[in-house]
Amino acid sequence: MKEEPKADFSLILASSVHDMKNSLGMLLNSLESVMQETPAENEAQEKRFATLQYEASRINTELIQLLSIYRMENDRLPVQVDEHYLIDILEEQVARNDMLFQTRNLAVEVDCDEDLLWYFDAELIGGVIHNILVNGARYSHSKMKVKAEVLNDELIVTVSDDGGGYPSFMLGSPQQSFAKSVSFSEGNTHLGLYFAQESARLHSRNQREGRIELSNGGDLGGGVFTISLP
Amino acid sequence: MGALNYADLKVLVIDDFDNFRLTVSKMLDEFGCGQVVTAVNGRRALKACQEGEFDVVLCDYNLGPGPNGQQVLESLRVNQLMSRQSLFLLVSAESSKSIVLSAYDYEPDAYLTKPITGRGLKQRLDRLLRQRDEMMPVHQCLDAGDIEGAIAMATGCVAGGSRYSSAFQKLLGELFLETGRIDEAQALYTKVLEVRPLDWARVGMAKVKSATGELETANDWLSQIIDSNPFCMQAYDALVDSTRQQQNMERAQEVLQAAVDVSPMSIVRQTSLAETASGNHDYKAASKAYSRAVRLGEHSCHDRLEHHLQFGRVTASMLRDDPSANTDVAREGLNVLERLGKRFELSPEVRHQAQLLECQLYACRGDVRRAQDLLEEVELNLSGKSLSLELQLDRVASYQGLNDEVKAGELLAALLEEYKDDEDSLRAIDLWLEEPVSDFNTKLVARINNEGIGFYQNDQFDKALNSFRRAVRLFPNHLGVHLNLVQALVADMKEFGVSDESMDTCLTSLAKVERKIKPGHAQLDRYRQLQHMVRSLG
Repeated sequence: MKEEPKADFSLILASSVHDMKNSLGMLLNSLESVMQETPAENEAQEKRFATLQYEASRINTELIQLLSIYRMENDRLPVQVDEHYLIDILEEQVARNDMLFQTRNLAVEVDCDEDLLWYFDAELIGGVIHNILVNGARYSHSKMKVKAEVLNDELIVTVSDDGGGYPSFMLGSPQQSFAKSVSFSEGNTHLGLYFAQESARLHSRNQREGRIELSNGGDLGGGVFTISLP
Repeated sequence: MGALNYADLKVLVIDDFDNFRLTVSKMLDEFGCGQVVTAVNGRRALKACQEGEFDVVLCDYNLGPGPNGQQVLESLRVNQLMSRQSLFLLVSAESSKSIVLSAYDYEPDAYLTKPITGRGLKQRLDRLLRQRDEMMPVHQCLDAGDIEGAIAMATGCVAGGSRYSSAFQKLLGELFLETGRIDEAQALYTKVLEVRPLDWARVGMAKVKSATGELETANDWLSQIIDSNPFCMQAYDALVDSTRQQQNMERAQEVLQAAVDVSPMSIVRQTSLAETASGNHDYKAASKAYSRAVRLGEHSCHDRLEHHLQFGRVTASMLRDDPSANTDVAREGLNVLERLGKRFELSPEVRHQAQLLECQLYACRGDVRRAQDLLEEVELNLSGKSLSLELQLDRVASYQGLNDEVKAGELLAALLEEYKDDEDSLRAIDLWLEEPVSDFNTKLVARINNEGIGFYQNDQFDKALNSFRRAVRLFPNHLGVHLNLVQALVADMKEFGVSDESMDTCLTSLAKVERKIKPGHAQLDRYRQLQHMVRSLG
């Protein structure tokens, strides 16, 4: 008998992720309606709403990243570089997560020259910033700050918070890809950082590649995420 | 930055979800928008736009039955229900790359991803409205047809260091190319490219090359852009234009095929592929593309009666050429033709054409009786009327489909007499003849044939096969070119070994000749000889 050809598992995974993402989109929408139609009556309810929303949007972000990484590996995620005002991109990400910051009582500041221009794929880099903000919201106490500037002909965007900072083994500029530091037992896949690193790398110019770096301290004393794009 | 006047804005919100319409309307009210109108589906939205223009349209992609968000946008732009000053924002729950959506024919001013937050929407609208206000004078010039004025104003804005210089430059480049100011376009794109190799400027520069006749260079550059960014639809479109200018329709078809693979929802490119493939007599590709175009046309303002008829026509041609092909697609063709009257107003001529096409498709499915009945019915209705060439050729095809070569031959002979001084019509008739009669095609077949024979005699079988394959595709009833192809294949297989693919091509061509060749034909001996050689190889 002829053996059935085995289906490509990554393809199955990718299409089922796609499916999950659509369902989750509906779920997020309905959740928002519920929150508007029947506003929380006490603090406990408010917290529950916040958890629901936060966790759902975290799954959503992870699914999007999974899909993007799948596409990157299959060369189906071309980088569409164009000129953008940093203030537009950063404020968009902050505004997008407005609800999350409000429920967590976080003040998020954007520090960026109105006229600062740079060249990058707005969707990819916007996604990276979004993900760092969503993750940071979990670890910050009361403040976060997004800052953008150009130094030595490179765009430097930093996202800093006033939380406990990154654990020491994660600090620095990763020589190895974050994919290798996956730890299922600790429940942390660092998927977001892997996505950020790959997105940065896709931006290259004059033999220079984009990169990310993690450090602690900064203006707010917590974790500092830095992405540099040539 | 001046304050934006939301009170003057008229906004339309389109979504099939009540909740979304309600939530977004409330947000817009809070921003102070002067008028907010909602619509539950695409049809109602279009109706609302016909009654009065909106400044901002916020439209969900998925609108349930009827046109989707992209098709609403398409309709608004094509029917000029939206001026350049209006903004169209496409909303989707699909938060992956907007590329998937942007591979349509018309680009919205922005993509928004659900869930939409009040602050997010406000931030985006502020941004878009500021840009709109700054570009307004230039767009007003364009709307008034004053291109010179628009160019002068946009140039001024770039020189003055406008915040939207990049958008003005994109527009200027297009206007320069449109008005034939090639030097100025070149200067503009060069300046942009000195800073960064941005795709839009690279495509612009390739168009400059194309406009100055350096088509090969333009093609190379555009291919490079597509290699580095397979979603750059403008590069495909420009490459199709330049390969068409070179009369290289085979290459144009390849590029269109690649473009359609990336943007399967684009009806304009799908139709263009269908037309190009059918011009190249690649009926298999044409049938597939027309089938998609017809499906995409259901809610599109680009739907045309001609696509539906052509789908039936090329599908019948495909099945006549390759009787072993699966005939399911003939059923699909019949369905499309049967529904024609519901979708379009049909003239008597078109009704007869549709019947003839149905007749051909029934014949392909082996339902000879039904095909014959239909043909008899049409013939009865047509007798004594003067008929268009297109309809006449559909009759020829119907008789051929029923293997009535005698009647088909009589019709063709009459047509040749009727159109003997009309080169264009003769070129259309040529397709049905064993040997072409129009000046153009007579020369073309001779040229390709001689080219192939030249290669063959120099033992360049690869190149010879290319020539003969092309000749067979262009002149499918020409027995001589079929036999040339078989001869070249036999030589190639003797030299490099037998392959299934070459063998299949040989057998298909020989079968075609077998059906057509009559006793006493000049090529009969050669046919027998080649048939023998092929058998001994197999």
